[in-house]
Amino acid sequence: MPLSHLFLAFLFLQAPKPGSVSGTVTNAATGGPVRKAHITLRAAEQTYTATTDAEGHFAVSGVTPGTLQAQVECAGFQALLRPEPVRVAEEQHVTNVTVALIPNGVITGRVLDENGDPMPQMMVEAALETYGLAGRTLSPRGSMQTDDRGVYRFFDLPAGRYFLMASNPALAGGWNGRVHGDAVETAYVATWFPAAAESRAATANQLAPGAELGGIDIRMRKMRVYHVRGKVVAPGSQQRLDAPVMLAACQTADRQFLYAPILRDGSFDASGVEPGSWCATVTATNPVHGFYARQTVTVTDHDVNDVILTVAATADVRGLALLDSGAPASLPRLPVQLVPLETPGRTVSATIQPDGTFTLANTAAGPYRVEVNSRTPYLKAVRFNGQDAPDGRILVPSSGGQLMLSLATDGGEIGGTASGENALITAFSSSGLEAGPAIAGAGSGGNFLLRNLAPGDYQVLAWETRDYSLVQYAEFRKLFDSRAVSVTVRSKSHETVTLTPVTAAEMEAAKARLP
Amino acid sequence: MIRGLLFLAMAAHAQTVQGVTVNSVTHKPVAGAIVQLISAAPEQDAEAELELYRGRSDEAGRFRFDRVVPGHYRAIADAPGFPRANLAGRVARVSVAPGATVPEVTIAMTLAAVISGRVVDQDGDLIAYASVEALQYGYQSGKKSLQQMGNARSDDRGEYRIFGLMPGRYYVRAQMRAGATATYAPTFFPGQRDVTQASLLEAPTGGELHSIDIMLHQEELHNATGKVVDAQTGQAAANVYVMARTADGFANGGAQLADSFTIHGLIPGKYVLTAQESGGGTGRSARQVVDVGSADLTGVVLTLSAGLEVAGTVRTGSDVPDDATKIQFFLQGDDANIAGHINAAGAITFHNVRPDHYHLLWTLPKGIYVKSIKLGDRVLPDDGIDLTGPPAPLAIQLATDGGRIQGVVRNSAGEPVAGAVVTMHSDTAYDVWTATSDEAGQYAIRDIAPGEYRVLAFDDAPQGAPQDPDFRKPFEKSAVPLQVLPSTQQKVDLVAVPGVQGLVVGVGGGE
Repeated sequence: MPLSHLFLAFLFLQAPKPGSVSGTVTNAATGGPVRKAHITLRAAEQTYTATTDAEGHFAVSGVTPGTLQAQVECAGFQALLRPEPVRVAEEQHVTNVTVALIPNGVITGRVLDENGDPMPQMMVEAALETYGLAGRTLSPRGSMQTDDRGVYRFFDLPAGRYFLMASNPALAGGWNGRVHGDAVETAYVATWFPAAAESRAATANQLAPGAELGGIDIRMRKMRVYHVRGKVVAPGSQQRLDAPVMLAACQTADRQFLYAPILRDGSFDASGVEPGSWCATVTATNPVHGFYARQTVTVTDHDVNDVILTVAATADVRGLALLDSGAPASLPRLPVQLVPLETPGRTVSATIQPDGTFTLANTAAGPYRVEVNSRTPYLKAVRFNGQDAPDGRILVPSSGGQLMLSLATDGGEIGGTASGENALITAFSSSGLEAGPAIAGAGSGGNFLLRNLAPGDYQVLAWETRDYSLVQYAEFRKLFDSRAVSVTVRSKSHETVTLTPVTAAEMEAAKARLP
Repeated sequence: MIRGLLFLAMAAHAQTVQGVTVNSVTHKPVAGAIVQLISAAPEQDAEAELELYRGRSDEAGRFRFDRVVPGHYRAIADAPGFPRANLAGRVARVSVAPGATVPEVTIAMTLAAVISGRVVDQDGDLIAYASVEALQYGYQSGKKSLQQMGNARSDDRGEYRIFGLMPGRYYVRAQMRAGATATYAPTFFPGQRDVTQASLLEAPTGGELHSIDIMLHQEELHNATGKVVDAQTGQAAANVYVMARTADGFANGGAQLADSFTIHGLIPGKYVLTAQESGGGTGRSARQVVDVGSADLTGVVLTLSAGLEVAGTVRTGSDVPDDATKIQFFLQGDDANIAGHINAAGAITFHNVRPDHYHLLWTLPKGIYVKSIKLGDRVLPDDGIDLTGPPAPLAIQLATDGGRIQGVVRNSAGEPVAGAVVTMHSDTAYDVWTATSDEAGQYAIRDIAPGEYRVLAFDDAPQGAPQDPDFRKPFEKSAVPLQVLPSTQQKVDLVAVPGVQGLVVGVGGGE
């Protein structure tokens, strides 16, 4: 017998006898079966797929024994990666693998004018209320135009609290030229469901899994609107400003953005502006001649004709990252960001090169917070133009500057156990340069380990519900300050704590008390 | 500053423009339409700042703009339920001249049509996110092709609704590409893969064509694997990316890793495979057409070849043309458009041209035309340029002695026709010259290569159609023969071929 055949025979004898996996996919909201769901079982070397039948059943045979990750997808449902892997032993027929998929929902309605007549081709945006590092935010979950009957229909929405805003896309502007004799002095302006000017005054729509919320009709606000006119001046520059003036509501995303071109003589004319406080900005990020201007304009009951926007050139912030106080030999490529502390502003991003250098190009003057999205190494200290910035906040002048980052690998650890399974652990330090808490999930037996923590004082908490966003929300975390365990982490130290998780019920109750 | 003064000077001659928005079928006024008067961009100034006058028609459909500065304008109107009036291909043109009263402007608006229905799979289960299109035959660069006139996406109930369509005849096509879990091939209503067997649906003005339900069949996805090799060594090439494209716009690609490439997610059908060596414009490339059947396609071999250098001269007589840098020539292939570089000495070069058949296209400043194009000793025909092998030098002759014609287009009743398309073509000239008549029916064409021509005017032809020889053929007997003489202006009044909008759809045929 040739050697290769012997080898094959050997393999054959050694190959474990296959098993099988079967189970059912159900609708988590109704308990009913889900048909045409796609199941993917992934092992290290192989992938098996199956589709459910009319009863929601699926079956995969010929499965090589091992541990498989099960992922289930179906149109209209949240895709799901089963938290517990499926373990198949030799010749084992694993049955009754059950997966409950959470169905998505629908929000539908019409956009109406002041007479209740439908308005076609209005833009409708659905925003989901979320809590996270940035606080309570309304995060966009899609936009669409109403049809010829004024109808909109958002489908495939995950459950949650939704706010809806309608606006007239024709109002946004952007015409490259001079607008004359604009007889359209009243306009339909951005409106939140049911007829509110601001999201704070809007009615939330609580969408349950798989539910359809119908009749969510938005009654557009019709208002006297005004012009904001003016000039953009660029001292000492002959450059044509090839960018529009943008008007955005100051501090909120509650209103539509409006645009007006800058004509060759530097003038601009934004129409359809509703009374209120607007931030007028001009931004260009041309790599050679970036420029930036910003000014607040208040519109009351007449046109504003004399806005002067003075443009300043943007500049580069050049930086160097040191690793453990020395020049780095080979850093991983870490992202570094300047996050503006004034809105509207532009986040400036760069990648730290292996030799530690980076350039944050086209940075407009203003206050920023420095962020390095890494814990290995972690950001230990920030120096800007020769001054220490202990809180990571810097004020960039119009000439740019030099940013020095100290990265370190001497972080400590917090380990321990949290009672129960699958708890989420957060450790927050008010002294560090990290904007949010360190997060880890507890494994089997409730064991967890938070690594590479910057030395400092930490408040450690365990949470029963794995809501990554919510536990990063400072206002939420504060409600449980009394439950936190205080730990001091030193350079390369290992601290041990035992935690009792905040229960899911306590988290739900606290959520209701949020501002 | 000068422009500002000019503007003020023009403003002194400002005129009133007024008119009415009417329903094109009932001739009743359309109230509350947003009317916009937009200045026409001056030639050769794409960045010109345009003037926009915006207003609203009143209860009687009347609108009025005061103090409109002299110039040429387009008038367009928007109202709920009406597709933009200029989509009809007929734009209301308005000329404002100093000291002359502007004639009344009538903007005819046509109530839109709706096509709606459901998209289901082979079991009758609804399909969400399917893309549904309303298609018509139209013209692009003189070639007839299916063009999308409206589109929609099916919702969670499988329902779609294409609204704002110009009334007319449409094919409806649905498709869905969502990777391995749900890919459905493009299918025409009522269930054909081939447009020649599809139903042509009449979408009526102001009406809804409903229950246009389309069943899609799920497709098996296949891979195409193969090798990109170096022509000299026969070895697998490094740093190559391979793309597969279909005629209807699908594209997927894969890099050659080690010594083979794989492109995933292909449904059965014809694909153009192109391989491109990284380095963009300077790299070598390969092209091959393949058919993916009901199994994976394996063993494709693409052989990289270096691009050709096509070089030559551009001359006016024996002189280097004035302002040579304003002259642009392009080689247009099936999936490439290569711009030629012309230097101040009149030398033209096309770099890295993949061996293939091309069309030579150009844009020229006023006052010149292309007299002859030679590749070596051979005068090029007008249907293309064979660059499959090492090319002989290119010699492009320009001339400045072009003729001019002008005149008025009238209908059979003798009334001037605005917006008529005039074409003139010959067997010898490279260009088909076209012009559009103004609101007084006047047209003018300049820089015409001297020779024998046939001139035609179309009252209401689909955009781009008059440039298509097949489209013109039935009307050749109405063409006016004309001898264009060098540096001479001639006056030719024309009678327009009446409305032929519907004809394009009727021409039918494959893509």
